[in-house]
Amino acid sequence: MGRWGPRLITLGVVIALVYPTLGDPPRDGFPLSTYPMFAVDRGPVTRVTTAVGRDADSDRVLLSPHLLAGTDEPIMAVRTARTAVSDGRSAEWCREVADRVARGPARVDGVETIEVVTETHEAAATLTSDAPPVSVALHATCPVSRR
Amino acid sequence: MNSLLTPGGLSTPAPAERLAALRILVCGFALVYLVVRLPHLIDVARLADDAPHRFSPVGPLRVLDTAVTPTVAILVTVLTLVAGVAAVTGMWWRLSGPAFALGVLLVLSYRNSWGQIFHTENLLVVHLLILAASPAADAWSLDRRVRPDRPPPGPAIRYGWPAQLMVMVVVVAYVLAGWAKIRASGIGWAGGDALANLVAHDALRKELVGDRSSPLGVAALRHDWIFPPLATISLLVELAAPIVLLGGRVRLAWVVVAWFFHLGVLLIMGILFPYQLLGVAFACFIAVETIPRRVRRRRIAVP
Repeated sequence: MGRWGPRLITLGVVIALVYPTLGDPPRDGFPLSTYPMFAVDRGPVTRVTTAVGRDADSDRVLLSPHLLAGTDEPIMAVRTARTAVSDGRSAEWCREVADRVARGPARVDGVETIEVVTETHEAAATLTSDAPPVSVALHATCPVSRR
Repeated sequence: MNSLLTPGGLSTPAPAERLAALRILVCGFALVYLVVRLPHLIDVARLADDAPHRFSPVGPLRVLDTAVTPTVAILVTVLTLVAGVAAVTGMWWRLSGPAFALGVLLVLSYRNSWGQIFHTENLLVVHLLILAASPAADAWSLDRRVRPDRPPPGPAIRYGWPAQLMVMVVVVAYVLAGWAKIRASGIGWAGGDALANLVAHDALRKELVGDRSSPLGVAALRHDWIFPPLATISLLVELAAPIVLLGGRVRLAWVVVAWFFHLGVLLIMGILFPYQLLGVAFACFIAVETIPRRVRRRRIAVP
């Protein structure tokens, strides 16, 4: 291979790694990434789309990532919720979640309905002093049918 | 005594044991990682039945229009695990190395094809691909044991530069991560507000989907003076990564700081970078093959 082989291959690998960042906008991928995960300043206000359960007293029950998206990854659950709403499939996703809750653990036995919501929070205030959401938008509601 | 620190040049000869040690560490990590994540990978495979519309292929899977059946996804995962055992032991390396690297690439690309790319696995996959294309089983391998007639290989450039290429991949990844922050938010990212907002955003969304956020992250939000130095150090670690190319103690110092950076991310954001935190991502920065010998010497010295 000689001395130039390793140099040329190294140069090729470096170009391949940098290439995805040269687009406008850069396009993230795998395993070649633009590493956007911590880059953007999201500001103090956070909007999170999710699905919550309601029991017979209309009390709110938080649902696990597995009930929301079928896996244990919370960020995958967040993305699934956001995509469902932005694609206009809130009702369909609501029924998916309701099906999983119906088959789910005893912890969610009392959940009677599912609500797909987008909550807007002053994130730091909510976390440090339990401040209520600034606003809540309801996208879909569906019953949990246990057979 | 040999130095633990490696010289940085691409043309520097190295013993065959260096790539062998990296093969065992990196392939071993990948194998254990897949086993630990197997329940999650099975969940992801089942999404093809439960929510096929969520399939959004990335990387090499962009050629696919639809998700594969759960049976195919699980079969590929199992075959990858089998190839992984062979790769770690260095058995049929010319076949098992590429098969394992390709298998991990496919399995993790598939898992990343459901709406969320996980950036904790990129380095692992690229490192595996580099090792798969290198003579990483010329020592400490079953291949070597079944052909004892072969003379032991001496130090050579072909055993050194793949490890240096792995170092270069780490350097580029950190610089790109730093550059992404500058490009998206400007140098003001180092001021700390963006990081504080990010910590709050990440913690809140985890809590709203029924997961746990890091208590330390929430505590840090009550003392927000902590974020400007954290953000500045984070950005410096990433953008200053090329100093490792100078070699020597500077290289080791950067690795130590980068490790603490990932520890900070774990403590404050609850985001685990296992490949980095276990040190496997940084094993290529040192003469890793000397560690067993050093440990043995220390045991003898301390009766």
